[in-house]
Amino acid sequence: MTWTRRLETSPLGQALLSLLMVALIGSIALWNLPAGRPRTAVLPVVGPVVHAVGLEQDWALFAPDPRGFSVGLVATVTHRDGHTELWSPPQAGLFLAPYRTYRWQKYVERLRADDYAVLWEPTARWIARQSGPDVVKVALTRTFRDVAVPGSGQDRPATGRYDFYTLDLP
Amino acid sequence: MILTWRRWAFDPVDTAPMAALRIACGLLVVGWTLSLLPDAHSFLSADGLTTRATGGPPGWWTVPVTSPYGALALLGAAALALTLGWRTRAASVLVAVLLIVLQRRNVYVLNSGDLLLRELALFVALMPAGETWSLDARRRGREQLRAPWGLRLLQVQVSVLYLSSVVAKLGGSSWQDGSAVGRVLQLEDLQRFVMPHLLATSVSFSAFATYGTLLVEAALVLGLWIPRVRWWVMAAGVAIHLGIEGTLLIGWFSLTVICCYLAFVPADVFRRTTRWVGRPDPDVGRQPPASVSASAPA
Repeated sequence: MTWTRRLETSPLGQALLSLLMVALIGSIALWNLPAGRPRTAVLPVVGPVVHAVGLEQDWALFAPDPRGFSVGLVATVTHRDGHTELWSPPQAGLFLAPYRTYRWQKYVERLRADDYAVLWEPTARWIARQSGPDVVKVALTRTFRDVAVPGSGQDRPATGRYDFYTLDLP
Repeated sequence: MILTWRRWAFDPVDTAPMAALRIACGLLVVGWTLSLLPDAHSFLSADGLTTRATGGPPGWWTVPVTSPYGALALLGAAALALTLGWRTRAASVLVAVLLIVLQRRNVYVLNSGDLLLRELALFVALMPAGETWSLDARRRGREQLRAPWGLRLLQVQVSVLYLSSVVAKLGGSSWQDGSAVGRVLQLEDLQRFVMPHLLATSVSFSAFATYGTLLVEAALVLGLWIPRVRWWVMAAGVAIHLGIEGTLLIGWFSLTVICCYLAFVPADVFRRTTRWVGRPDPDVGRQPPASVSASAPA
């Protein structure tokens, strides 16, 4: 008989496993409480457990409201001889590619936000490295387009652009 | 109460659903690993987009990934072993740990599908998932009925997922006024293909899809546990997730959720299916499976 089978069939083992189950179910339930004072109160206790076992989770997909605009990223790379080229992350494909490109979409979604400004310089430096040894400048530009409210009769809004970070290299 | 709990968590059951989850989880992780290969250097290496894993709150741990391709090769091999049921327990623990390590190396590229896949792997590691349809079972020569406590944890996790999702959505004005799905379908960075503007901005289509999503997600919270309605809500859930899969770029989320539904499929359905596909019983000396309701949630 394996040790796991012994554990789940003995009274002591069942008691221990029950404690584990209650701890995990309780942690998951409390972690998923809506934002507010009760969640804030239990987080210092529940958080370390959830993080230790890798159970952190967020099921608020498109909630409480979906983003109100599409986002994109374009980098303008300037070389020493003055010529420029545009870099953009791998784009979505139709069949298999989306299982890869969603990671780039997620990265761009975060990168364009001011909360993630810490990513701007390393990203610009990485793009410079990808573009060759003679790069002197990388400018990151956000693209965005508002979504139309269903039923509003709005036409497709125009795409906006905003340069949000420039890296100058010696 | 204690007796009910013991019966629910520890009464031995046919492990076919756990084996199905093991195979599904293994295949998903193989796919996840392959899909990360082209970007392993960009996302995981020290001279990639981020130089190292970020720190986290108390309890958070990371392991330096010195060789991204080596780590992915190890994960792929472990996932393959998990799929085949070779050294199942060790393989499943390795898969769960490596998913945490690799995902925490660059948290900026993760979405909910990545987290759900990691949780599925974790719960599979807690299950006796190698008792059936595995090389381990073939080597041992007999299957055994086992306690389903790990399976129960996954079932609870799925219900919490939908409850949390519905509660979060109900707090938003666009889910209340029926415009949420129409707005989502216009997010170009998430589109699998260009959605016709007329359809995405149609009030009736958006309201139908928005309220339909809320209704189905709410039904899934408890419906998966109730044998009389289980198949109906499961079919509705699969339809919604396939709809999302067909229109939006959300990575592995839909496929992983649908695989998690296997936790609610009664064992006899799997047994009938394997008999139907002409693989009656590959394992020698298998004990008779428990009754249908034994492995199904109460």
